[in-house]
Amino acid sequence: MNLSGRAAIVGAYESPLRHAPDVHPFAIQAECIGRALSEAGLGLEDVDGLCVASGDWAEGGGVNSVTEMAEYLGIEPRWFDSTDVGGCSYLVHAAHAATAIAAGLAEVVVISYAAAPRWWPLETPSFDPFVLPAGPGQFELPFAPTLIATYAMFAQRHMHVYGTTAEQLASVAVTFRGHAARNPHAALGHKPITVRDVVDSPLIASPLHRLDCCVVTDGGGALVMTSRERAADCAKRPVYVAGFGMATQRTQISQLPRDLVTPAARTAPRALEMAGLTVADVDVAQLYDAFTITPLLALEDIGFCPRGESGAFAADGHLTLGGAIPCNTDGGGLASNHPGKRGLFALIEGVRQLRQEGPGVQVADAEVALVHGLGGTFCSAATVILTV
Amino acid sequence: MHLIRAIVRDEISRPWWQALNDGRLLVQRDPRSGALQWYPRGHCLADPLRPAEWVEVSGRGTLFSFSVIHRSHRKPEQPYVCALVELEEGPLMLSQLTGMEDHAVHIGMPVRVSFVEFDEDGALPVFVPETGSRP
Repeated sequence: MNLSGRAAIVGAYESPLRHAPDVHPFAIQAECIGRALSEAGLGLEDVDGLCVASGDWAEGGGVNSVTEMAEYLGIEPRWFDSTDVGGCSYLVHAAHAATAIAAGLAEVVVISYAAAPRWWPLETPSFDPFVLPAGPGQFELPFAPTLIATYAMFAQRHMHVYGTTAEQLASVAVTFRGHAARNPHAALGHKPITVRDVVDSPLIASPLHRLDCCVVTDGGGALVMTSRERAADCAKRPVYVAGFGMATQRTQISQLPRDLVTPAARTAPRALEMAGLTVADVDVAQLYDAFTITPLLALEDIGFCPRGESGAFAADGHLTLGGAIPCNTDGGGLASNHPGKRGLFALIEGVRQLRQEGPGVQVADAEVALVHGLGGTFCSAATVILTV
Repeated sequence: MHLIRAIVRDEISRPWWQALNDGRLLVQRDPRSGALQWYPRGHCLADPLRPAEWVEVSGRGTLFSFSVIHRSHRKPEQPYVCALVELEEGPLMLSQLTGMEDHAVHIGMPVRVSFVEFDEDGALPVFVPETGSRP
């Protein structure tokens, strides 16, 4: 079955909230779903598919969160998915939804997410670094690794092997902060920074400084997908899911890929092949940016720049308008929002770019967007190609 | 050092933990191919029905990567060094590096295992700089 372009995104809404004290994430999800449906000219009564993975810390749900959220909305979807592979879960949902829509298993699918880490009072034992202190985790958790330290080990090794510098890493944060300056909802858009600011900010887990790390915000968003045929009758210009790819690689730090090649090296070629496109065709990219090292490795693995050269590529200005591949045009996780699993916002911004509605910087006449997400610490990944 | 002591040992892992108390560091080996694997599992990676066997390693290796952790949600009192060690036999093993100034830690440096008291059931393997002479 050729799945390319069979489904379209017809609604995409990102909550402007960045701090939502006392608001349960389900309430944020419900509002986002309502607004995304409204934008599409659809209603809750049209929805027969639901993708929710809200059982992680600060997301408000338990392990059966998709049934919880369906109940909260008051719907009984005939198709659903709650795959949770971390930050790229929503890209995986979009891929699964496109498949289900093409197969006739669902007609209108909602993908939604919200989290409220700035006030959430309950603990989830496996939140950082994602494993329990039992089974495989008993050999690592005693050493108190953190999520950030795992990314930091990739960065430290990349600096050792390729000569990447702290200033080059910092340039990623500076570039995306510049994009956020135009986005009225971006958490840090009003605070310009320099490379010096980043490298002078406190070390969290060497070599990553505080300003190498994403913001922590509350927030949420929702997407509405339907068939190519039904999309033609919706209110917004359809954005087609032209290709997708997904992969898992590892969880434990001891299984880290010695060549630092992340699963993006498999997911992006799969997605592009399905779309019948190459990296040269991509007009704008949204690359998951929990930390400055994160999009750098994606640039190399996807093939936007040669291996080992992503630091210089970013520092030379290739990630902004006029560069080789404008990235994270809304400010990304480093400067706009990051409640925990940011992939949905990357998809939403990909849609906005193709609608020429980017709230940050807008790539003129963009027709192909590559959205890349990862989960955990490069443990899983998914890439989605969007076209108009 | 900053260690987390609440862990769950099990039937598969108990020989590994017990060997630490005798000052021996073990990894697993496929009895057919000789391939080493870390972390311990109930099977060999080549075959989910083939039990793995234990083999002692030298405890020497080089630092593959590391991070000096200054801040985390666990609020450590002092920075500590999470270390990913490449054992000379091949596997990568996560541990902590101790016994030297943080700023002098560098990838590629030779390290060796050192056993520290962990919990009421025994020891934990951390790594220290290899100075050339064996203790």
